[in-house]
Amino acid sequence: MERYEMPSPPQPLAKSLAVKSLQLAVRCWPADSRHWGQALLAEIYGIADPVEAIFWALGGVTVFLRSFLSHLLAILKLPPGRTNAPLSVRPGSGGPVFPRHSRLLTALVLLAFIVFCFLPSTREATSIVASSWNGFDATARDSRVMDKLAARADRQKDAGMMAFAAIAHPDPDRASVLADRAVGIDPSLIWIYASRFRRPDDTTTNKEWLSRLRSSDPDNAFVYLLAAAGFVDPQVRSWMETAYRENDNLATTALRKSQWAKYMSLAFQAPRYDSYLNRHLDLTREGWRRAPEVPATLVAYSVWSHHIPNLLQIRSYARWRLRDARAAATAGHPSDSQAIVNEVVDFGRTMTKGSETDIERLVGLEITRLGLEETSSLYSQNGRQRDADAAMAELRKVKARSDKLAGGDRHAIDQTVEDFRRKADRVQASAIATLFVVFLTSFALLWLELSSRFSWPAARSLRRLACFISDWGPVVLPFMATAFLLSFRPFASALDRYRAANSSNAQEFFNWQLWALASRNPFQRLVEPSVQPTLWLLLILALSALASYFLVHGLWKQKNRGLAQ
Amino acid sequence: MGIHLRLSRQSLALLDALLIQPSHWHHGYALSQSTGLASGTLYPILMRLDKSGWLETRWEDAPTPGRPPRHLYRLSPTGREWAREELRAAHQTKFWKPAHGKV
Repeated sequence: MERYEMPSPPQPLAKSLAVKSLQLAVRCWPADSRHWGQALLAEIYGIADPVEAIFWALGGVTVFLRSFLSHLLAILKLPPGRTNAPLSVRPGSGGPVFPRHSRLLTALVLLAFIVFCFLPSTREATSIVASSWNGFDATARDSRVMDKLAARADRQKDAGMMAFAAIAHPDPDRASVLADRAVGIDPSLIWIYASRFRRPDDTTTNKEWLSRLRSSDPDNAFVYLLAAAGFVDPQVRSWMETAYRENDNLATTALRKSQWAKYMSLAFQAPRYDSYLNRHLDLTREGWRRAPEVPATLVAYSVWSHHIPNLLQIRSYARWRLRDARAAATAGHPSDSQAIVNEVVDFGRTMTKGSETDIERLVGLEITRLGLEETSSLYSQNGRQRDADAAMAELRKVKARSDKLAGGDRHAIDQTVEDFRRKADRVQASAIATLFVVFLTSFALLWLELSSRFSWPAARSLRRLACFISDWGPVVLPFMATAFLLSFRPFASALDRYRAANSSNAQEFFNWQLWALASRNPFQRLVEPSVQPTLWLLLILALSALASYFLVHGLWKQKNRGLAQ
Repeated sequence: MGIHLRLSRQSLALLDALLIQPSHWHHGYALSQSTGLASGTLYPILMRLDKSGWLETRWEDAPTPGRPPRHLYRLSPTGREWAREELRAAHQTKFWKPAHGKV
């Protein structure tokens, strides 16, 4: 041993590295075999050759890894909360309580649960349900997903994908830029401006968009209705609300000359009505089919972001025009009166024919009905009874159609909605229950591990409860996750149908399903005053049951102890 | 006397080295030099011998100033008997040939 001399400082870099790596290994070495690491480290100071020192250190690190793995395996074979230190048993205490299952088994079952959670179908289900708790509000991550998609579309000059990114992007400013790029690549996509349209007085972009939309689709009433909606200032809104309720209200001269009135007049004279809804839905579906990584939340956002025109302004303007017609007839200008009424009836028919949603169709039919009533009245006043009867006959048809649309399928719709709500309740309940067990199990395991490490004192019954949870929580979790996935199955198949289908029925179904999930959001319901008492009552009952259990359990144990003594 | 060890040629070489001066305390680097075993092979064998009770260990009493004390090893009296038996058996089966000419 005398032949080994102290290394003369400064040490070569290689030797220094070797020493440092062994020192680091010793610091991390399991306590029960750390002295072997210290033995290896002590030897390295006597090795003069740096290369030999490096090999010595490498060997030492290998020994460390073997010791560490062996230590880890030994720990894993023990139950959670148990270290490999000898147990300290106080006389009469019966020894500490530990779960029955080993860490390894617990970890394997939890790992299986985690793998299950990362399956694509489970991820989609959890993502949708979690989004429903947030009211389907987009997150920063959603924005990043759409930005990536837009960048890819930009590289590939893919106008369709860019347009999808534009209509589904949650950030309106970014969406505006993407919409411009999409239209730049393919000008036929100009209609997407209508989907991302805001009030035209908001930004210059919107004014520009409106002007381009009018140029590209000048016969479409929808474009003018969008433009008019931008000029609904408080004065116009107040007038519209009054005009809709009261028959004798007359528009002021200022209102007649307003931009709003100008655009409404253009809309009522336009020969076509197209709110671009089907194109919007097709683009969304196709975009999602091609980019399945886009979360369902954003697809819902895209679907729900579609505009329908301000229906109040259409009704109010129609009533205003019909009053003008009556005034013209009274003033002795029957042809002017007839022209105005025809304009209203024609618009009603055009809107009914071109509408893609029931609400728009109903408004179209209502405008037609109002116009036909006025037509019939005018013909009667002018002695044209045959024409009046023809108008009345058409009026009856319109009313029948309107009644069928408004109330005919109401019962079936109500049943469908109720069915969706029940299914949504099942999904939300199983999701909350799974989450509850996840938290409970994690808390029990963490508490057991930390309490053994820091020797936290705890009531024996509490520790027993933690052991019970850590034994059974991981076992229950896969079953709960399966139950959650099964309860989500109707929603998953709705999503699949939506992705595959070409009809708007699947689209509507998909919309209703998501709406049902959002409306059954348990966290939202927790803060709703009408529901609060019931939920709090349930919570209090659950806590009372838990407290009763501990009380009865404690009394029972005390009685048994008394009998034993 | 502890668990039964399945002895490899490396383990036999170490036992042989430890038996050269059985009462003498050896340190790890010297054993590595005399057996040609790398530290990653030598120490797990030492650890197993220690766990089986064949090995005695202690820390250096008067370490060289400026460096930590070394860990020293020698076979326990029963360990020596056992080691000789094992070496003899290995020699007879021609599994191992002693480095120092005799067992």
